[in-house]
Amino acid sequence: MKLIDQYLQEVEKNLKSAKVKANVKEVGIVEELRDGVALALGLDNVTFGEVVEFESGSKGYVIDLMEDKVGIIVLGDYLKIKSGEQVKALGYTLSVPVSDEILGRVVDPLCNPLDEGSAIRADKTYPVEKIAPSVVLRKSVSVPLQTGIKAIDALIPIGRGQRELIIGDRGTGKTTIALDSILNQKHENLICIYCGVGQKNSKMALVVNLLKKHKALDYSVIVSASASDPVSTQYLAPYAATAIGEYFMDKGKDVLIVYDDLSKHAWAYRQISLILRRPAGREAYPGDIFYLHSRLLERSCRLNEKAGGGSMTALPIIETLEGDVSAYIPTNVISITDGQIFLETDLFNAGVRPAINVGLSVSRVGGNAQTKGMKQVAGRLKLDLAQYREMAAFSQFESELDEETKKLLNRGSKVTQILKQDKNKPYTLAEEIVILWAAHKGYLDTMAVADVESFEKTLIELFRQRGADLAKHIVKEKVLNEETEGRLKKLVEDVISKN
Amino acid sequence: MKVDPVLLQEFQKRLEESQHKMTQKVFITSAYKLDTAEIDRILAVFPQIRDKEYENIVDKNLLGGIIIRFGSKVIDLSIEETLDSFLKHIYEIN
Repeated sequence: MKLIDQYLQEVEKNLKSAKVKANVKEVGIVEELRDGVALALGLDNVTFGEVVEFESGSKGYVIDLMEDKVGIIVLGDYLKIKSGEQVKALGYTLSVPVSDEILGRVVDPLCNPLDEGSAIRADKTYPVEKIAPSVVLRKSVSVPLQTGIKAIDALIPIGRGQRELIIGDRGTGKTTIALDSILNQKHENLICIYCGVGQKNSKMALVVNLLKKHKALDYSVIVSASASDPVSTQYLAPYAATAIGEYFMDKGKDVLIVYDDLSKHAWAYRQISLILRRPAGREAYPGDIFYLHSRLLERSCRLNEKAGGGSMTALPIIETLEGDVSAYIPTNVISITDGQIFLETDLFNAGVRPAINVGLSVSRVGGNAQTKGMKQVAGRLKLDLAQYREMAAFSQFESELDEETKKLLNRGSKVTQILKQDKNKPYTLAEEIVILWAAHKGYLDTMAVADVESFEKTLIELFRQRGADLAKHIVKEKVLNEETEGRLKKLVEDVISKN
Repeated sequence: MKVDPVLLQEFQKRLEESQHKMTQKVFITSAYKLDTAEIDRILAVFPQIRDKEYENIVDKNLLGGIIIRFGSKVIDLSIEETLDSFLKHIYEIN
């Protein structure tokens, strides 16, 4: 009892000396409630992007300032809110808590855990909406980001800090490419963020399990706003994920961020805009739909040494309908990004997987970041494939072909074959170079197309067995000199004699 | 329908006046009816509302303390609010 008395005395003492602070709060009254969006009267001095709290407990985010009303998107359950209840401005813009603890976690756009783990402890918050780093803080892309996919690393190289769009119809392997790129970063000291927008929960579970299985979750964060979540959170998800990425980028780390996918994000924003009665434009999207994505993707960049030297590489995904890249959202995002990887249903069905259309895919800045060794073998490959495509269509009508054309067709079909790759099996840079070197030197020309796969398999097996030293050499030297090529030649010839 | 322009003007003037009053008026909510001495003491503390017209509203749910509302601004010094924020803090600790 003595102890309680002591406590009470202490409390009393504190109370006597305590001063009541009069905080002036900004309030409004909910006037109207639409699907996930509340309109409030009052809140005269609220700022755009400020967080507000409803009397019933949910929080909201100011997204529209009208003459005498304020449009608020409700974060979380909006069904509890009644018209006439009070809304209180909290005086800060929407931010997410960030710390290293978030690695390996599955969170919602407000960084609340979706896995079994505890809440994320953080002493820092990052604003969800932030102006992208200015010109003086940036550096051009110079370090490659190895995706582990032969076709991409050779023909459409991606650099750290680049924004490369992955575009294609449903079921063409867009997510697979993004996930394989994440899987390949195990020893690359890169932090990966996978942001799912409007995805099925079953798909998100698959992603989590895949990353867990390959032990890739340790260096990854998954931000999920699934199809069943309110559109407000779907709209915020990419920005929140970027804020998490910026935290690591500012620490000087390299970050890879996947937005899966931005078409659904555009849909979510279209819904919010239409509910707010903003004028609809083409395909009923609001006028600022371009800015929606451009301000998001501008935040991915490579910082210079003064700014910490971090980088954020973005792989946005866009789903097209019937391969129509000239629709509104695809053209927007194509023009924002530094290149695109175009996936085609026909190729996918023909067994070319990853189903990358090499002709339509480009990387505008990644070439500068490609390693010299890869450049050496990939340069010729690109040319071979371009000529092959031209000839392949043409040769279907001709029965008699000259030797030169036959050679081109032969080489092209082999190169196409060698660029095929199983999913979730990324290659190291050295492995990629070895395989492509063999194709580049024409070792596949005498082989039947059906044998290419087994040749590749044996080559990789043998290379993994006894090529550790050679691999080190290739990665270290970057450029393939005569000595390396001699060793490669011996290796490949051994494999051919074995087959 | 034709409306006499003088009448319309008068009406608009009245409307503006009442709206002006609405935003300018200060509402002081308390758990019991405050007398003038108490209100004068309150007005003395808050310079923002000193020269404005006020109205006293009684709301027993407050338990104690006052809520001052003017325009879209609120100064909440009620026991109810204090208890509410206390509850929230306890919840956060959990």
